[in-house]
Amino acid sequence: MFSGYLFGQNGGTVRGNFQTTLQTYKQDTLIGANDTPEKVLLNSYANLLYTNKNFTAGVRYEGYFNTLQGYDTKNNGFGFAYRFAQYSADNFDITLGNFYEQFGNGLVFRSFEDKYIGYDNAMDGLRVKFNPTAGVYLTGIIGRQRYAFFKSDKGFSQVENRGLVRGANLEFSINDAFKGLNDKKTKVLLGYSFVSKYQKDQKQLIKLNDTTYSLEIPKNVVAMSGRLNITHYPFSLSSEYAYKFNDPSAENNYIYKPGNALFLNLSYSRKGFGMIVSMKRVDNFSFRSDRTATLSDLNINYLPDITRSHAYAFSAFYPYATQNNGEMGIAVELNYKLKRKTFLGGKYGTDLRLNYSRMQGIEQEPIADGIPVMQKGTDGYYSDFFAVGKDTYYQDVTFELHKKLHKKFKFAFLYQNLVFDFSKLRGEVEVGTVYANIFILDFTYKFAKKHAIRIELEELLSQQDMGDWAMASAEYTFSPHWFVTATDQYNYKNPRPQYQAHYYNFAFGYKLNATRVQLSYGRQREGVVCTGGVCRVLPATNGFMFTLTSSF
Amino acid sequence: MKRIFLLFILATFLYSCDVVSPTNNYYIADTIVNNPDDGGDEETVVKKVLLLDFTGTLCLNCPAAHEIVHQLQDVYPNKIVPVAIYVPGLSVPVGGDTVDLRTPDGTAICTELDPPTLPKGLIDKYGKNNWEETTSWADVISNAVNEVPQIGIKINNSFDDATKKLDINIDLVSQIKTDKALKLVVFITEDHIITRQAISEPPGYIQKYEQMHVFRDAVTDVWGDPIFADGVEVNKTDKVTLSCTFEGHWNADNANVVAFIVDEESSVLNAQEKTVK
Repeated sequence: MFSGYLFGQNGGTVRGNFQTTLQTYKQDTLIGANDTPEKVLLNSYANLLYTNKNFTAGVRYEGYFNTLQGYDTKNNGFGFAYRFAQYSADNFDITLGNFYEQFGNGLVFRSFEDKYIGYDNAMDGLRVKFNPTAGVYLTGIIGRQRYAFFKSDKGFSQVENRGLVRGANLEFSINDAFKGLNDKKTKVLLGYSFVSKYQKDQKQLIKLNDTTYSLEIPKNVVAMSGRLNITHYPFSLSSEYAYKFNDPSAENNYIYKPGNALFLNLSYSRKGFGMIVSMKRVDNFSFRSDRTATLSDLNINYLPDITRSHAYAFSAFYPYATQNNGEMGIAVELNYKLKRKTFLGGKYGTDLRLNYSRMQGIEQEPIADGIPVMQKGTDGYYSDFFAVGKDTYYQDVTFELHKKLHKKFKFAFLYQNLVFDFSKLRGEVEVGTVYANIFILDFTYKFAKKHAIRIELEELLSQQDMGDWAMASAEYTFSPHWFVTATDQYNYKNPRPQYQAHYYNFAFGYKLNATRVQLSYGRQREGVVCTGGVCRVLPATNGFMFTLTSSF
Repeated sequence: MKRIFLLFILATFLYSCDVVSPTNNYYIADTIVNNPDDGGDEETVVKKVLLLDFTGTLCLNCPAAHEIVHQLQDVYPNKIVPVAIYVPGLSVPVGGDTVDLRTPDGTAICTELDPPTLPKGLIDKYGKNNWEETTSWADVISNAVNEVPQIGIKINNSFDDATKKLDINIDLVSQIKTDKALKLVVFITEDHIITRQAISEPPGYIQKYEQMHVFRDAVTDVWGDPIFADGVEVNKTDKVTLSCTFEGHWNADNANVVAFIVDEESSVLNAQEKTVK
């Protein structure tokens, strides 16, 4: 790969980073882990960025030799997956080649990458940003989305039909636009986005009364959104409403109902107390540059998840995935700090956090007698905007406490009560709805300068799916270079006793400046990780994993 | 400022949006006239399309794919050769079901090709990374059926009920000249097998579901046996003789022989199907 260094030449600089992850695979029938004919698989990438005054150019080389289990094998191969040239002047910025961009919250357009979930829908085309006058920010984009290493016109179905995406975004900051409002406490930002995709027609059949018909497929589909953000300390409001015209696709079973999505976020924050209330409603809002694509492929937009994103292993055991076809929900988070040197706060104060989130389906009524809900080739259903669907997809109540007891000792406690519709969110009928209680204790003891040990104890109790789990983890850190961890997750009450397995894992790592090396060995349980509606299945594995990351 | 806003709004509408309207609740473009059924005429060389449907009894969305196969067979009678390959991980008999559609050869195919999330299909392809979503099947097949046939395949079967032995004679006639090495792949499939099947709407099971085109066994090597050993020329013929013995639970009355020709690039040049009896 590349060796890393930084140099200056004629005012230009080169920066970069790289990561390589290598894993060995051993068959382990107890946990359902498979070996691989290659024995070893490897994902790697390197970014190089050259900057000279107003000019920037960069490339990213990616190599999958072959793709690690759990990532899409269509990535197998190598090459320059990302290359661009960009020029910025006082009031405009132009990019040729690949770029990432987001309009507002992403409801109608978001192009991004996330290596952990194996996602990359980089645009390949042209982007222009223009700031004609104070407070007015315009962005225009056109291009096709990245789809693994397939050539730009190859689509999800492997035939030449990947769509063209074009769009524009306007942001208007009232405070920036009018001098008299520059220093006002109240800040107002308005936004409008417009995205259109073009994809050639494709034959889609439907059989009605023994006659086969082909559907009329719209080749151009438009989505647009409006935004209003207001900040007035200590309050902040962020809102966006998006609408999409008829867009029959594989994901919505080729129904023609226009889609809409609403995202609201209200927050209040003062010293020692914070509150965030988020609301979301999504109705038929999958938007992809190839109408036949599903799962994580070729999304034009991104529907943010309002449920809490958890970091601990068991609290993240059942992550929610945005339901593009329909969902509505609310999330409330309260943060409170018990003051220092009070009876409840103790010497160092205590941080409390309470979170509630719930996601439901939307109401869906038949459009006419004899036509079932979601019938292909029709409007699919009627839905009352304010009616809550009867199905609970997800509910999470989490209480968290962080406390420092001594200058060398601190701990955290977390309790979570979870309802997770496994059938809906994972597509496995057998499991049904999972009800789980999760308890977590996290202790950190700094026993000498630069030496700390962290113990994590977790328990997941459930009558469904894989039953009860317990976990113990110990991490020893010798700052700033070394760390060693040992973890065991034990599925001690799996309903099938033969699968009551220990998932042990040992890891150590070394960090020097911007370079980090990690080697681990052990079992990884099967699971899912999600960002919004984009998810990756983590397969069960048994073997060594080596990771090297560096930047320069 | 006002001008900028107006220009911006105008620019956005320069991109057209195709808003379509329904007739009697359905957004119909055309009536598809079903293609003529030539009864699977084997005397003339005709193009038939191989559709490998990777499926599973525990796969919720697979019955919808089976329905698409059925629809396509209606539209293109005797022009499609379907084979349903049951992926082992999603075809474990559960809930008291005793019928197991997993087979050693089917498992070998799935291990090598590694199909992603089901259902998935291979259309006139027999190799990795050529997956087609079910939603693309109609589109891809509408093009494939019009391709010029490259190799003629004629199947003659002779089944002995007493010994359960099947003799297969296959006559091949080339319509092309090529330097590529070709292989003949022959499968046994069976229709009307009743099993338990998972479905998505409503999530649950159908206890007695009729499985069609079920892959039973490969009579040749799973990846095919070489043909046209002396090269492929126009009008050149080849003859292949094969035999296999049916396992006890196979029903010869519902069984078929499927044969197809595959080249070095995993492209299927033509396919043919004939009932065992």
